[in-house]
Amino acid sequence: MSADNPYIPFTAEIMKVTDETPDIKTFEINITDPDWNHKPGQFLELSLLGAGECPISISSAPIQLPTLDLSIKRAGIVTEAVHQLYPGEVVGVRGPYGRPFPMEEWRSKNLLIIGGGIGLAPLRPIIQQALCQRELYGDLTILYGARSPADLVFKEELKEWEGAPGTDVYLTVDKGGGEWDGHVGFVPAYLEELGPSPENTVAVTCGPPIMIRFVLKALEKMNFTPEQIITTLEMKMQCGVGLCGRCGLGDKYICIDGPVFSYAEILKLSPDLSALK
Amino acid sequence: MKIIPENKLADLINKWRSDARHVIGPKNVHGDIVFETLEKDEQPCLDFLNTALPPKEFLFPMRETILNFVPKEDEWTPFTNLNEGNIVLFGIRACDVTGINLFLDQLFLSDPPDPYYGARRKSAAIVVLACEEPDEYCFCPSCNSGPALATGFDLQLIHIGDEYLVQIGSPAGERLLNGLQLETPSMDQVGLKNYVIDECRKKCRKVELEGVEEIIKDLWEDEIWKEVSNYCIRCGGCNFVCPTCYCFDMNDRVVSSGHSQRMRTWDSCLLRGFTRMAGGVISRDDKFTRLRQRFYHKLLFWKEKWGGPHACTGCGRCSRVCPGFIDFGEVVEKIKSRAGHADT
Repeated sequence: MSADNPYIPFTAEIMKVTDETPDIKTFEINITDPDWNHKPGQFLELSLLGAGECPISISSAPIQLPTLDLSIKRAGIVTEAVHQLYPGEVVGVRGPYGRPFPMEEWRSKNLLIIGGGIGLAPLRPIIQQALCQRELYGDLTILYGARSPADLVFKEELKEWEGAPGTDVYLTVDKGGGEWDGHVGFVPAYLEELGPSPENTVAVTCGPPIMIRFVLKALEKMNFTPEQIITTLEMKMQCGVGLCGRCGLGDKYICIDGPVFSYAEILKLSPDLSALK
Repeated sequence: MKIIPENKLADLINKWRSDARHVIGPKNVHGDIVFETLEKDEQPCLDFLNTALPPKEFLFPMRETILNFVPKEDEWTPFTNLNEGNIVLFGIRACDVTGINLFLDQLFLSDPPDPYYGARRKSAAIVVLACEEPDEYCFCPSCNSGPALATGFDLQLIHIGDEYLVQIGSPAGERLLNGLQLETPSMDQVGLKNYVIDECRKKCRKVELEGVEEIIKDLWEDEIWKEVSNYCIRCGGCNFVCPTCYCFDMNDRVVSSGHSQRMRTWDSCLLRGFTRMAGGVISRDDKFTRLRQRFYHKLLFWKEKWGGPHACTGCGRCSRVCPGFIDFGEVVEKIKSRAGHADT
């Protein structure tokens, strides 16, 4: 990132492209800037010549540097253009931006990770980091759901996580079919069914807004306090540096004051988030 | 303080131009008073209430190229082109200077500073022309932003009879007068200046903003926003004419094969697409939620984030341009009338 111009991206080469689902691909890109250092929960601004720029959460832990992963769902102009790219091609990036997950505060606690759809992407760095520094954290529970079996991301890695020490993985799909013999149902309902204990636990969730909303309610029902619940609001951002005004939520900007917020903070935030309350 | 006769003002402007400064001042263009470059020998229009738009576009253009991407071998290199010529913004009203000093500077010069705004701001000298007459929408005294300023200008001109009293607000202002033989005003002339400003102040409408931030806090779910937004045609005019609005959009434009530009354009929170995200979700889809955002931002959110005054300078433009006759002062009165009656 240029010191005097926050808008200038630098180039990064695509090393590998993985098809995750029919509309999600993971792009492994090479970061040449030796000073680059991101933390789980941060995002970057991804530029594509002529198509534009958009915020994308970094879906790999810092230990993977000098490469990082961007898991991108085809949803708009820039993401559509990115999906056309192959290894060896170049994209622009600037960042990392945003307030990361406070993982230092989670030491020795149990981690309950609840993801839906592409929402697992910003949560993946937490899982990778916790598995890498396994002794620092308590039990790791991952609850992940998608619309259908084909829409589950990181399929290979999910299997690895299942076998990791002190780790439980629960998968569910809204609609089964084919060879799927796992759980069928919505994430919040499965969460209530599993009934994890709030004891010494931090719950971290990301997914479609409707899922987040019901997950928050379910967690409250299970006596998780608002301070124990963390989410990440990956929405509306554009410039990434607190200037363009688009991601304003009351007196806060998602891009610089978030995207990571505790539920306790959300309750105090702008009433604009009433959909989540 | 100095005195400059009306008929010597042209000398001053010509001098700035001969110093290779780009002079921007109010001009009458087919009946509209707008800020434009004063070309060689051209003189400003000085008989006006206020300009149609504040001069913020000369620091933060409506549309500007912020990055150019040009292919270099098999990579591409972004480069920027900062406009750093010296400009004189001549004849700005106090309300609009307040918009620059307290709002745009606060946003664009804080960390991280915006290099485009910063470069233009650094090279811009500000010459205020104090108001002699308000119209029915002006309420700058209620916002402490006029009719004249105490500080925050390089030069300030106040019209007294056939002359202008010139206040020097900075060393840069001093330099703008270099080489000119100007008299010092008499006590009578200073008294006349105070009289002119006081008379204008007295004629201004009063819109009491103090404490409105406490009342509006409880009105998120109030019917007031739906009522007011019934008259909104979501044109975004209120945003575009506002000296404190700054929201922008960024888009890429392909110029030719391999050459594209990243553009920045003014945007408006009243427009439906303002919160449109990839995939088409619009978080403020109902019109009233967008109008509510505008008033909350002006009256509460800005103040919460940055401290200082409400994000309004009392220029009255939003009320003047609204096709639905939504009047800022009337909405403030409506808000205050709801004190203690909140639905929530």
